[in-house]
Amino acid sequence: MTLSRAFFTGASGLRASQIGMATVGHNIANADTEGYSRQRARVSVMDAVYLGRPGYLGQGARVDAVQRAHDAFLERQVLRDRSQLGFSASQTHTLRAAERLFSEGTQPDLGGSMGAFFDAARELSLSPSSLGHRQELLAAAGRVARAFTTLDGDVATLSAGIDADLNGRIEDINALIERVAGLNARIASDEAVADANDLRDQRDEAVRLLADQLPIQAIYGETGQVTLQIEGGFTLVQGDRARALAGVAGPAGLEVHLIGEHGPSDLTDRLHGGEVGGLLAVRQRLNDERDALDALAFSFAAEVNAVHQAGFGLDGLNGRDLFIAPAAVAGAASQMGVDPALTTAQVGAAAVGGAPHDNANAQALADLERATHAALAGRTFADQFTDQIHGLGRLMADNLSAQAQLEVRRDQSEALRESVAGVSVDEEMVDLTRFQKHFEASTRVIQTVDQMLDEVLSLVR
Amino acid sequence: MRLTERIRYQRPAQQIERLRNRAERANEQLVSGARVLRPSDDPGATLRIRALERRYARLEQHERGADVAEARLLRSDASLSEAHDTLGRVHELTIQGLNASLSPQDAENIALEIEGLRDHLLSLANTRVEGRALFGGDGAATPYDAALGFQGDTGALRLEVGEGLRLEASLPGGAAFGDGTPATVDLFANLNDLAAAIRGRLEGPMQDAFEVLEAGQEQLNTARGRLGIALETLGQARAVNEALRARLPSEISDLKDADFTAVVADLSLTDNALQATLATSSRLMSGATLLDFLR
Repeated sequence: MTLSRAFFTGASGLRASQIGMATVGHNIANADTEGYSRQRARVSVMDAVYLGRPGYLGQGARVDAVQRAHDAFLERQVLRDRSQLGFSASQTHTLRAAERLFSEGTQPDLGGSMGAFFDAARELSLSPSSLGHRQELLAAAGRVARAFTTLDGDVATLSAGIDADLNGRIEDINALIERVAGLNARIASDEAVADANDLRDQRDEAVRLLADQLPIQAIYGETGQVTLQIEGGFTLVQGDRARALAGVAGPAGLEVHLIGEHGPSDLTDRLHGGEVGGLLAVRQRLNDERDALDALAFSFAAEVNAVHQAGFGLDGLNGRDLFIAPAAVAGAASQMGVDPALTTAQVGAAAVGGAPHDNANAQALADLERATHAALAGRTFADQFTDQIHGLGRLMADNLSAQAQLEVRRDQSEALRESVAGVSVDEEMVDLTRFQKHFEASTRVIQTVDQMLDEVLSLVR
Repeated sequence: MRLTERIRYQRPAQQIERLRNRAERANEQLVSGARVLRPSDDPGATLRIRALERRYARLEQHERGADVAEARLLRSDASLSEAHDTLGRVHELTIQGLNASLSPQDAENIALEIEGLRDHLLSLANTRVEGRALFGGDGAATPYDAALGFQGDTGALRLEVGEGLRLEASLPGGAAFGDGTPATVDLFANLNDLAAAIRGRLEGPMQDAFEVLEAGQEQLNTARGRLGIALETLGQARAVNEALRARLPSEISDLKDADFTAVVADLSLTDNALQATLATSSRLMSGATLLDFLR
C-alpha cells in the first residue's frame, strides 16, 4: 500500500535528520578538541521501487556514512612544519644559556679575566720589584684558571642536561609510537564495519606529537593505517608493529638508537628535524665549544709558561711554570690551575737574573695579549674567545629569526588544516536549524500519513 | 578560507604574543639604554665592542705607564741639570787651578771644593724614584758606592706608553755618570784626578784631567739630550692616548647604545598595533554568532 510506504519514507527523513543532528552535536562538543576533524553525515537517495503504472516511487533518504574532513596533503605539511619548528625551537633555550655563560657566565668572564691577567702583567712592568703587583698577577692568573674551569664545567652541565632531557623524550616517543601502532590496529579492525573517524583523529594527533620530536614521514595506506618512517628508510611504525628508540651512552653523550629487526641502528647523526634532532645538534655545538675552550686553555697555559720560564724571580732563578703544565689539549680547560709551588717572589718579571728592577719579562708576558698563536689558527687568545662568543651569538640570532619564520609557517599550515578540518560554530548552527526544520517536516509527514490512515480505517467502521 | 572557532581564538592570541614580545624587546632597550644586551642581538657589533673595550682598558694602563715614565724622566732631567751646574762649577775651579800664580793654600781650597762637589755629584748619581735608582740600571739600589765604584748594570727601564710603543723611561745605567768601563767617562775618578792634580800643582795631569772633564760634560749633555727625546716621544704618545680617550667611548657607545628615538618610535608603533589587535580580537571573540539570533 502506497500510503504505508509514505509512512516509512517520512521515517527515513526523520532518521537522516536525527543522525545529522547527532553529528552536529558531536562537532559542537568537540569544537575545541585538539586534533578533532569535523564530521558530516553523507546522505543519499534510497533505491526507488517499481510500482508498475506510475513508475518508480522514491523511498526516502539513507545515511551512507559519517565522514571526517581530512586532507592528507595539508596533514603532511603540518608534520613537516612542526618537525622543522621543533628542530629550531628546541635549540633556543640551550643556546640562550650557552650565550649567557660565554658572555657573562663568570664575573668577569673568561675574556675579561684574560685581559685582567695581561693588565696585571703590564702593571707589574711599571714596578717590577713590587711584591704587591706580583701578588696581583698571581691572583689574576688564578681568576683566569677559575674562569676556564667554571665555564667548561657549566657547558658540561648544560650538555648533561640535554642528555637527561633526551632520555625523557625517548620514553615519551616510545609511548607515542606504541600508541600509533595500537590505534592502527584498532582502526584496521573497526573499519571492517565503517570509518573509524574518531580513532583516526586520535591517531593523527599522536603522529603530530611525534612530528614535534622527530623528522617523520607519514605514509597513509589503503587500509587506513599509517606507516611512519625517518629519512633513510628507518621505519618506526608499520601497521600494528612498533619499533622503539633507545638512549645509549656514547663518547660524545647520549646516542639515539632505533631497535630494528636486524639489531639497533644509530640515528644520532640522521635526525635533521624535530626537537630531538635540535637537541642533538645543539649538544654537538656545545661539545665543539668545549673543544675550542680546551685548545684555548692549552695554548694559554703553555705560552704563558714558556714566557714565564724565561723570567727570573726576585731570588735570581728562572725556569718555573706559572700555570700547572697541561698534559694534553683534551681536558685542558677543566684542569687549568696556577702552579701551587710558585711563590710571590718567584714570579718571573725580570729577563736577567739578579736584576730585581728589570721589567722585560713582565712586559713579555703582557705582550702575549696581542701575540698570535699558530695553535689558535693565527689568532690571539682574545680573538679565539670572542670568535666563540660571536659564533654562538650568530647561531642564536639565526636560530631566532629562523624560528620566527618557521612559527609563521607552522601557524599557516595549521590554520589551513584547521580551515578544512576544524569546526565552525556558525556553520553548525545553520546545520542545527536545517536539521531541526527537516525533522519537523518529517514528523509532519508522518503525522499527516497517520491521519490519512485513520481516515482510511474509519471507512471500514 | 573557512574561519573556524579555533582559528578565531588562536590567531589573535598568536598575534598578541608576537607584538608583546616586540614591545618587551623595545622596553628592555629603553630600560638598559643598550642596543646590544647579548651577543645574539648583534654578533658583529659584539665582536667590535669587546675589542674596543679591551683597547680602552689597555689605554688606561698606557696612561699609567706614561705617568710613571714622565715622573722618572723629569726627575732624571732635574738631577742631570743639577749635575751639569756642578760640573760647570768644577770647570771654573779648574781654570782657576790652572793659574800658575796660585798659592798652595788656594790650591788646597780649590781641591777641597772639588771634592765637596764630587760628593754632591755622588748623591745626584744615586737619586731614587720609588725605590729604584735612576742612573744605575736594573740591579743595584745604590749604583755608586762610597768607594765611588759603579755597582749597577747598563739596563734601562722600558715602559709601554702606547700600543706597541715601548719607551726608555730611564737612561741605561752608567750612561750619565760613567759605568766604570773605558767606553764612558768616570766623572768621580775624573774629579778625584782633578783635585789631586791641583793639590799637587802638577801641570801635565791637570791639563789631561781638564780635557777629560770637558768630555764628561759632553757625556752629561748627550744624556740630557736622550732624556729630551724620550720626553718628546712621551708627549706624542700622550697626545695619541688623549685622542683615543676621547674617541673610543663614543665609538663603543655608537655600537652599543640604543637609539632612543628609533626605539621609542618602534615602541609606539608596536603599541598601536597591539591596541588595534586587542580591539579587533575582542570584537571577533565577543562578536555576534548565529547563536545570538536563533530563538
